[in-house]
Amino acid sequence: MSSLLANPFIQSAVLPFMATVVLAALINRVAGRWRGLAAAGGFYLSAALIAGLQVLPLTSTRKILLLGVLATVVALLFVWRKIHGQRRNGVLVIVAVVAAIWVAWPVLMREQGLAWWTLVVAVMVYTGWILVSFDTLHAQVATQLLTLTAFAAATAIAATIGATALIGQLAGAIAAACGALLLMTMLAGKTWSNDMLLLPLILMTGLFGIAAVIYARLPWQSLIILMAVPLVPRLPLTLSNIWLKIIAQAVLMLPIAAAAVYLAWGSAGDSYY
Amino acid sequence: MSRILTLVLLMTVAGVASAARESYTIDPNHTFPNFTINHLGYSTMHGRFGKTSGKLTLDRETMTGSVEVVIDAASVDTGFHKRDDHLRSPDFLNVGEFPTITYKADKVKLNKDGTGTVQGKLTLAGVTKPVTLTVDRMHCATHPFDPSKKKFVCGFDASAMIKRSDFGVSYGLPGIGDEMQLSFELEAERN
Repeated sequence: MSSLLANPFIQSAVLPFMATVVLAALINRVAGRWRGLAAAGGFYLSAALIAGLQVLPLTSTRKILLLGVLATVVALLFVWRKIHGQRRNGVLVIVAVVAAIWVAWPVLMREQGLAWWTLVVAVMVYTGWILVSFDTLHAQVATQLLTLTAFAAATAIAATIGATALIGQLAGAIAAACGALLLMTMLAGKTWSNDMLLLPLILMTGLFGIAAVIYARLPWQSLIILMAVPLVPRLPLTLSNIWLKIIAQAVLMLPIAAAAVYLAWGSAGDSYY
Repeated sequence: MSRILTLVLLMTVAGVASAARESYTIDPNHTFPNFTINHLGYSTMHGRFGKTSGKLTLDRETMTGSVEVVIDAASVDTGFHKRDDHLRSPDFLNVGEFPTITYKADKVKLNKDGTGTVQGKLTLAGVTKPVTLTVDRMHCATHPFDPSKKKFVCGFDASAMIKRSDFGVSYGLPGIGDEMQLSFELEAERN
């Protein structure tokens, strides 16, 4: 059993997928509006196996996992207090800025001048863009789930090629958890709206990408390309059936994800071990 | 008068004691920390760190001293650059956040036959744990290639076994081994 649980595919794909299915089914019986938490629950179960439960020393990976918990609290506040529009965007931008700088802090401390400013602006812009662009999709949760699944999967593959399997596994677990929730939604034949509870997973995926660039060998150009993923749902697809639209959007996201992964592959070289 | 004499005597003894304890600077070109670890059960992987600095003190009369070694974590070299990149990543050494590995010891006990122990603390990936090195051999002498005969060098071979999980470096367990055999080849020149 322990060797099974130590298998990376089990940790990053099977376990978060199955855990999310079980949690979503349970939550649906009690309070359907909180079903978005199922994906976060499935992810954290997986993260406990992949990264362990220790907090210290506070590495960038552990900071990201803690920020996910904090973002869950923020998301619950948004839902409870019905915070919308500009106010919500303002909070999201502040969360993005603080989170990104905290994760990048060990490297920021050593940089100076233009390099410092470039890094600060880059991590703030990337994280802010990811949070705000995904937030525009929160009213179409199935679309948001698809976009997050594709974004997380591409981040996972690119990060693994970029010399960090740990971050790749964690991002992969997010993709698996969101994929599970999306599949359940499609099988149920109905979506829901106004779910902020994917915010923690969106934030963490963005930060995992940043960590893979700063602390491993993922080329930053891959993240630039991935910024286009949440733009795909804005394309004018004239399909009345929402599920066909989801599938069409998935097909359109594939080349973007492939380009980001290809860049990482090109940078890392063609050998593997 | 007797008070002045006592003071002079005390200062002389202290001076002699401090003169007995010599200071050395580690020679980075002849000092390499090495490690081995089991790779998925197939073979034992060997690696080393290419950049080291530090200092040590040694009292060759009492065979005691202290040592402080600073290792550039990014200088890890296993002969395969993709594996080295992986070792530098957050999965293992996390050099972006912890650029150095340090070993500090002030309990050095050496025997006349050149063996001994060094009790100190190893800081790896931000975690500090006590680690005792076994000194396998030691040799101090004037360097044979120095025409001025002023270059005095002490060299040591030392080893220890650690568990990387004790330092929070747990990724890849149990496939990639937990136990790491450390061995240091160290040379230092007297200041």
